[in-house]
Amino acid sequence: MPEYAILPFQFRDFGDECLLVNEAGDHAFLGKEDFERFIGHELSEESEAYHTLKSHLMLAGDELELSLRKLAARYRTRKAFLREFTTLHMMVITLRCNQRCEYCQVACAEENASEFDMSPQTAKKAVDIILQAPAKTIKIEFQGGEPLLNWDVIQETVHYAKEAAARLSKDVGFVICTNLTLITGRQLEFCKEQGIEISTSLDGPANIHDACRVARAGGGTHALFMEKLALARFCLGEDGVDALMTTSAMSLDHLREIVDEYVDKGFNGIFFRSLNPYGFAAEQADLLGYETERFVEKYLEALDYILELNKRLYFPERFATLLFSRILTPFSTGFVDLQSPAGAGICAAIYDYDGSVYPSDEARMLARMGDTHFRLGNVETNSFADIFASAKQRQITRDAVVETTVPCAFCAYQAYCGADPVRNYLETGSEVRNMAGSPFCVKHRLIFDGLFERLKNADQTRLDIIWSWINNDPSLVRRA
Amino acid sequence: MKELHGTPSSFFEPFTGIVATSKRPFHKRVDTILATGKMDISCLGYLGCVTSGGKGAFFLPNHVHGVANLEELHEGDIARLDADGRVSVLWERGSKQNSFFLTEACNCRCVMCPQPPRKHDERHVREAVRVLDLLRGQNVDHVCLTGGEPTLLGDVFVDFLARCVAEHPNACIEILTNGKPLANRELVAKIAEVATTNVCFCVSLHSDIDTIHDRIVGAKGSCQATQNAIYNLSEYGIPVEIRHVLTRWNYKRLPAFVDHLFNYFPFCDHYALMGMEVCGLAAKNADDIHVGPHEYVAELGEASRMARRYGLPVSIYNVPLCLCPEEARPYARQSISTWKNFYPETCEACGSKRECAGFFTTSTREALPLDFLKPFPKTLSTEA
Repeated sequence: MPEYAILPFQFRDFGDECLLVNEAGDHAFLGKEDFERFIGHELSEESEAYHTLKSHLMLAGDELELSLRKLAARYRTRKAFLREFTTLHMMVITLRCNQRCEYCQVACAEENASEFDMSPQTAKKAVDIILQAPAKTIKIEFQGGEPLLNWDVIQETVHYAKEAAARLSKDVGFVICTNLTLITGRQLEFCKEQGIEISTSLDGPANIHDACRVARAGGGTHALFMEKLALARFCLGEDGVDALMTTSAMSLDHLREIVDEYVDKGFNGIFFRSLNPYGFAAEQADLLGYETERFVEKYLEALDYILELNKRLYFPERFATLLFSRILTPFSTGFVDLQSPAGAGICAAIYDYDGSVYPSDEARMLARMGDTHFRLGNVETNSFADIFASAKQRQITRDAVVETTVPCAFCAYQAYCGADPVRNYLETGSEVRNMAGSPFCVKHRLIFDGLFERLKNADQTRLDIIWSWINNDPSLVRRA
Repeated sequence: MKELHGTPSSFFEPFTGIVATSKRPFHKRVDTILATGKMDISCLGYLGCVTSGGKGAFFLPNHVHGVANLEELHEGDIARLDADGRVSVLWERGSKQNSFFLTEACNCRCVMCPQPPRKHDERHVREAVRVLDLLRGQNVDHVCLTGGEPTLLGDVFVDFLARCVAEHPNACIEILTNGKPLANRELVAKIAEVATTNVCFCVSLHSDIDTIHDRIVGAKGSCQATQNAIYNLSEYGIPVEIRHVLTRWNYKRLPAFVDHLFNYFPFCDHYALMGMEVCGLAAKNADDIHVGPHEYVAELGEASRMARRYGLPVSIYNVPLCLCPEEARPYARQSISTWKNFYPETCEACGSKRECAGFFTTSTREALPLDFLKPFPKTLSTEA
């Protein structure tokens, strides 16, 4: 019997083959018979399966020590996001909004309710805290409500943060998350001058967009959105505006039309975001919600459509891009909603209009629903250490580790997945739960199944397309 | 190495100096070897001479006479004269292919080694130090330290590298190594103290599978030591290139090898996939070990596609363009040193000859894939 050590790995049934994923996220497919021989220590050293497993660090012969060194290096590399403590800082500039979207997850406030504005003083105190984060590169994202309703504070904050960052030799960048409908040429000029990015929302063609994204005064917003999009692109350039789409029951059966709309309107990619059960979305779950399984089914259909589309033009689906990067490259990827340990607080934090600090957008949504369980402190009264080294933050991070969660610790997708303590708490009253059967788990497990199925059957063109997304390099695909 | 031949003036001790093709003032003759049409009284005071003419008088410096191709010696070259009439050009001024040959000793016995190892001889280090002395103050932009296995010399190697770096701070310095001695972190720590980012260790790794690599290099445990060396060098921030020679024993795994590089060695600065020079042991073992580029077209194509997707900085050495599949051509380089490079007759008709690696003059004739060459009607670079 050949002598070899089996290195730590997880596996999953893929019909005729087994998917194996090692501790550091390297994967290989193996025929069922070879798999049985492998775990029975019966694989011949001359066999191709033996070489494949050795090359992907699932087994080791004499080179065991070296293999562990290589796994450790790759593991460190994949967790590199931990080295930069808190890079993304979201500021709720106001909770007021001129729209009242059906699925609004923060339950925005009336347009004239100025008590929901962040004051200039609070904003400055928040910036003082933000810039104490050890990260060299800091991103400040202005959120709402509709942040443009409190424009003066945005302007002041940008100037203040830039000066303070310069004193500390840090890089600071800005994003405004806006529904775009109120934006003016002068504001766009300011964005251009200051290098501020614009992130907006487009749910699809007019009928779909207007089904959920309605003005507070009533009526759809699609027409005005398109007008402002043109203005924004005129000022900032064709690539100057990024859009997110939120999938509701109204749009789930129309993902192809939505893709077509995005292509037609000149966007160079799309991010399909599923609905989270917070705010108005939670209140109207019957109307807006859908089964997780059905979302994944529709999502994967849309993904196939987009993959075909990419034979003609470059158009990535950004969630799949992220997950493919995790599956196919040894590198770390920054996506705060799906990390282990969870990104909450350590990769991102959010500062509410009143100065309260939460570890994630969902945590402040929860607070808006009346439960301030995740509140880490307030910029008016607490120091950076009070907030980020708090017992609460430590506990959140400690408990949100996939590697030590049941049954995630034994899941083939462990290396690619993440934890969401806020969602767990919302659903069960505890940050830690058995993840089996939870919506979070079902969604990601089914999507990973779908992606691996596609990788397993991908031809060269498909692989080129997937890699063009990962590298953001359209030239990897030959197009007629 | 370029060599000229003539007749020695006497049975002298070998000596090394800088070539001058025109007369120097007396105070600048002491380290200089004069290349001259005839030996006369004006040759006095030089370290030695090389002449196309006849033997000079007994009181003139030691010299080699009757050298036909004297014009191949250039001002500023560094040459060694031997008592058997050999004039060896140790350093060609302005060439990018100069090497310091530090030892013939090696801790591997590669089946395709073009220069089978021998016992270490101090002479090689002395000669390299002498050349380095003569290069002081000269503009050097590229140099290679090689052997044998140069890092076997330990501290002597580190000292030599330190001098290269200090005296030629702008030169690219490549070290050709199997890496094994660098599995010792202490040695790497010493190297890190003297190395700059202009220094690159070109480490040979012939498979991702230890048993295959060890069989190729003829020493068990090599694969592990070499990979530990690459990790050690990288941990100290020293640039690394991985060199991979294609043989019959590893070519089928080329795509898997590239995959492994991306998965576990994505931090290297460069990756060279190399066709074999079929001389020395490679010629002797050719039946067993040699594989022609026409046999690994599919593997090279797949590996190139992967390298492109992964964004790995790959180069393909020693494979003629017409035997590279289309995906591989952007990575193919003119890699063969001019002094041992040639193009067979078929290539005269080819429009891309000037971009092509061609062949080794040193490879055995039988090993050349002459029947498979397909000259391009036009140059490929303008076609694209």
